[in-house]
Amino acid sequence: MCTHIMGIAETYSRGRSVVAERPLTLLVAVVCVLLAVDLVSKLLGGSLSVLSLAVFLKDGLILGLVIGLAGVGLSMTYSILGFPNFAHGDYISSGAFAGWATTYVIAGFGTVSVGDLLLLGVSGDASAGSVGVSVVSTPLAVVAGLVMAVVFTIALTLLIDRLVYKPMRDQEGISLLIASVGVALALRYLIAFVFGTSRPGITGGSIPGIAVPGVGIRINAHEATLAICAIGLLVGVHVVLQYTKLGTAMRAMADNRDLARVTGIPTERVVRATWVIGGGLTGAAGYLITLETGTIAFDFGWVLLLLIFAAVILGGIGSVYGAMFGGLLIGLASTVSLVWIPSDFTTVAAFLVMIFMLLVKPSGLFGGVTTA
Amino acid sequence: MSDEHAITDDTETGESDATTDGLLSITDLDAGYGDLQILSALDLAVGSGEYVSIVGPNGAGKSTVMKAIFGLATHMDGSIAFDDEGIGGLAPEEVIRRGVSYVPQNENVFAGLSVRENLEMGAYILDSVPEERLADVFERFPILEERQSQRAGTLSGGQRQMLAMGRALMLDPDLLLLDEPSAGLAPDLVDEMFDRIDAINDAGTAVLMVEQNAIEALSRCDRGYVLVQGQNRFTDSGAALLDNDEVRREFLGG
Repeated sequence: MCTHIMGIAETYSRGRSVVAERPLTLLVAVVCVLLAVDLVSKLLGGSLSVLSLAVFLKDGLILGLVIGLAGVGLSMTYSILGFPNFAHGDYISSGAFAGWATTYVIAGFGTVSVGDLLLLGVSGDASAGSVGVSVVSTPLAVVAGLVMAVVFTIALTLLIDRLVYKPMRDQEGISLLIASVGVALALRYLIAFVFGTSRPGITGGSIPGIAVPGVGIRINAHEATLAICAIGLLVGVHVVLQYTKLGTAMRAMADNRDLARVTGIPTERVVRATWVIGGGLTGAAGYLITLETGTIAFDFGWVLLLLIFAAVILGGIGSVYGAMFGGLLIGLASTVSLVWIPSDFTTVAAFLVMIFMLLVKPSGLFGGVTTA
Repeated sequence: MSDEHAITDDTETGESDATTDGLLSITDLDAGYGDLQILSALDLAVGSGEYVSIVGPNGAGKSTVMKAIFGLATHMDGSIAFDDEGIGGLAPEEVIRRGVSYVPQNENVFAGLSVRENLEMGAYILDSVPEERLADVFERFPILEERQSQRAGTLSGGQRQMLAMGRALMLDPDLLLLDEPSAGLAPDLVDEMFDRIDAINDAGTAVLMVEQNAIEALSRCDRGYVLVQGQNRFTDSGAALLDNDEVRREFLGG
């Protein structure tokens, strides 16, 4: 009896100390519950249809996969090289432009002049309509473009590493960060110089899709392509990290770079492999985003980088799995928030989710779990 | 140009005189970090299968000796030869390839990797994991086999030290460098750790050990060095150093 009462008293005081020490955790929990209740009542009351919620979820998952795919590269290079690469967004754009120029040349060869095709319709006759690129009408050109985006971005990251980051390898993270901002600006305006600053449409023609039975949403061929490629690549990263010697060495190096050196791991080779994998994923992400949205612009990678950073920080910067998971969460937050707020503010919602998560778990969801 | 050659030749002759059958021979070494010089004119040798301890006060440069051998400190002057081949300034992976392994003092396991993955990383320079070496390490440290799929970060201090040594033994080195192997261990584990080092040495691996616990280190080793301010103050057999009044008074607390 006596111990029972003491047990209750103990539980009560422990509960009180949680409330006192972590009021923010409690606040976040309350907000989550309120939102969930409101969502259900909106669904039951009919002010929100199941269909539109399903569309939000689908869009959120698609966006989340893209952010995750692009975020993995950023998180990987952060964990192994020790700095956040601000040029990452512009690697995304570079890969997309290189890939799509290739796709246009192949798809439109013979009908439009090669020079116009290379410039992706910024000037001349190569417009989205006249070239008519889609996964269905020009599959070969799309595959070739995707491969080119990957290869080009890998080459670009290795070149920039050789010219800029390698000579600074032993410097502090902050110096490398500032250097990466310089790289970002240089790349972005080089793209603007060649392709201009307009936002041309890229894909053309009708894109078939399939209806998901039951909820009535439609998934088109480009969304499906993106989802399949992104999931495939993310699984591939997981397999490399967990089951190969290189992946183990990457995790070892992320864990403790000095120890990796004295263990005999050739750290420069691992760094190079990291850029290759990270760069390849980034190029693929850039190409696939453009395929799905159907437009391209010189600064779209930079704009996306904000969301990518949100996802990577949310997941715990340096954790590859955190980047994947954070990407999905940020993607879903920025679309499902449409239930409550107008579309102009969805990015705000994504960042609010990030901020609240960090208040609850300051090192990020996967923070402290080093996984490269 | 020809003058320079003459000078180099002279030094090399001098070296080989001093290091007849040494496995590791350090001659007249100046080393440090950047512009800061820590070691000056240091001579040190380890023979095949020998057990050598380096003791001395804090800041004497004991760990710097190990870092210099492993290419982690700035090599300023003098020479480091292993198997009669200069290794001063080589990258760590090249030093390892020649038969030297190193167990640093702190954070000497990959906390996020499993025990087995830690050991596999010890054999990174080989094309495949040498199964017989792995079996050998597991036989030496059975606890590591039991916990091979556990994350190294969850091991106790003593187990981590065993894992770090096991990883260094994966390539069956001729010389094992141990930096403060007893640091941070509970007192009852210290003796066990030194016994394990004895066993490694008995199996034929030469050991060069830096230790804070000077009495234990000197009573276990074949030969000892007392390092003070980056210089060699005393060199003798471990027992003789323990008997030396000056060494006892100044460095062993009585």
